[in-house]
Amino acid sequence: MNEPQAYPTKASIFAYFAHQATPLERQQIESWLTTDQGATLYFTYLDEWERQHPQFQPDLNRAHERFTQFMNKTNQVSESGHFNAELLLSEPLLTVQSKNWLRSYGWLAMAASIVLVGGLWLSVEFWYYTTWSNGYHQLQSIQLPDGSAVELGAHSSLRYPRFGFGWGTRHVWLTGEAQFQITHQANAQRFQVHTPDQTIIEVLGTVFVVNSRRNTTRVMLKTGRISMTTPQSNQPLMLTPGDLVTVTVGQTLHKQKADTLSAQVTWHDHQFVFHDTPLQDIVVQLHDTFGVTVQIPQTELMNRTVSGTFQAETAADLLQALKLMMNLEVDDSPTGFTLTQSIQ
Amino acid sequence: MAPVLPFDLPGDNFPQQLHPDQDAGAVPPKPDDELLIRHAFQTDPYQGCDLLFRRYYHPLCSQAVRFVYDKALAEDIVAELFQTFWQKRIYERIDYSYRAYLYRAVRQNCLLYLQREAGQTISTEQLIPSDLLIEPVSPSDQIQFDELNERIEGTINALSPPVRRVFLLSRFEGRKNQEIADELHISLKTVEAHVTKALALFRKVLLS
Repeated sequence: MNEPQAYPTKASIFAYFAHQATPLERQQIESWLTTDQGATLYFTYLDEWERQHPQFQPDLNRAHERFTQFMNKTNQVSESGHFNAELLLSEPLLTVQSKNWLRSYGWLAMAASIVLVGGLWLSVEFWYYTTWSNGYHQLQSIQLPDGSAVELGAHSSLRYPRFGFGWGTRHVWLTGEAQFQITHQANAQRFQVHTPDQTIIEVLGTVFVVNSRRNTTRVMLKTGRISMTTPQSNQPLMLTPGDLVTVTVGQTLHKQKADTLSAQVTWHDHQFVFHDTPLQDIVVQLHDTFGVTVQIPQTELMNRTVSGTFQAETAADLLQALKLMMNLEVDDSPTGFTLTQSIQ
Repeated sequence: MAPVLPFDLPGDNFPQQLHPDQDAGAVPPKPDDELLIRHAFQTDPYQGCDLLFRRYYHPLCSQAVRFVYDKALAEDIVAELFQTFWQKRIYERIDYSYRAYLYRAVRQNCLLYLQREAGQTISTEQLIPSDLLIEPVSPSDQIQFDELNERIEGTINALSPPVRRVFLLSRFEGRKNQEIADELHISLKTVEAHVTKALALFRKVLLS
């Protein structure tokens, strides 16, 4: 066709995506796709059309969190050596079996087994450990193989060895927040909780809460006796019931009596207890528990304190209660909530 | 030391030159609406991948599910695509459009998945979508994808309403047969029969 091209309109392209284009429109689009402009614009329109006609609503936050975790992990892997980077590059996208492939490219099988071994090594986290993860809004009770009970908080995960848990010291790894109720073993076997900032909490039989987020670990002991070691401390710190210890990266341990600080231990009943808690701390808790962003533009409002017990299953519930109590304006936008003092 | 060549300068009227006699209906968008993301990739690839993910995760999942009709699988395909994108530093090799690459790769991976499901052997060159990077776009490809999609949709629409309902609950929502039986108040046997029937038809589409 040498005659000047007639470009299809956006409307007919959208009709084409919806399988409603006429044969003539189709033909127009087919020849338009052979032009540079068409080949690029096609995807621009496809994207626009897809945004207008979503087929379902995937959970972006959850997927995004997994993706950033993946990026953080693999970044470290490729930084640790050239060999690993090569290994990753030779791994096929999807593992699909084909007889032909094996026969004619026998040497590739060798490369594949290297990839497999490497893959096993890289995926050691997956097959060696049992992992429990919670999304936002989720709470979960976990029974460990030794009978210890764990209440895993929202947006948290707990990992322990799939095999041999309970032979020797029991090790678990926690990100986020959880309450542990450890069973005492006859042979006085130890139980250790590891957190991302390298803090180790060691236990005999006891009940305690660990919150480890943003490089800070908070431990509250309810009953029993535990000892803690951190990368900064040389000798373990002993805790007695009621103690609340905060560990921040690059700083020393901070120990206080937690008699008025039950705020941290009631989240597993969807309950929030505040005792003169500044609004800015509540915002942080909201983020940890529900994954929502709350902004407070006014500094003086950030420092206002709240006391009381709130039953809230969603962030909106809690904000609604705070709104009524403190006479606030709550602004709900797609990026998060904004709190302001309402003007009388 | 490469000298600065005069024709390296970006031409101001570049987009107009490319398509002089276009129809008023197909006005191209701003020359490069991915400019911000491109900038991010230059300074910090992590940031760039993050931006791309947030921007395209939803529409790409929606696109994928039109082919595979399985919510969880669609999300997996898209997530895996982004992981490869980061892991193999594919972003370094894209000089036309991230969007075009992502949509083409999602379609390609959906097709591979469906072919594998239908029990077809897949040749090695199909496995690695790196050819997506070399030659910009082969026009007939995308049309074939659109046609495949039309066939899939047609097949599902042609199912009788009860079969379609069971099929979507089972495949799209990923529900267990027993759950579907309980919810629709039909026997487990009926559910199984419906699912088998629909899946057989669905696979046949790919072979045609």
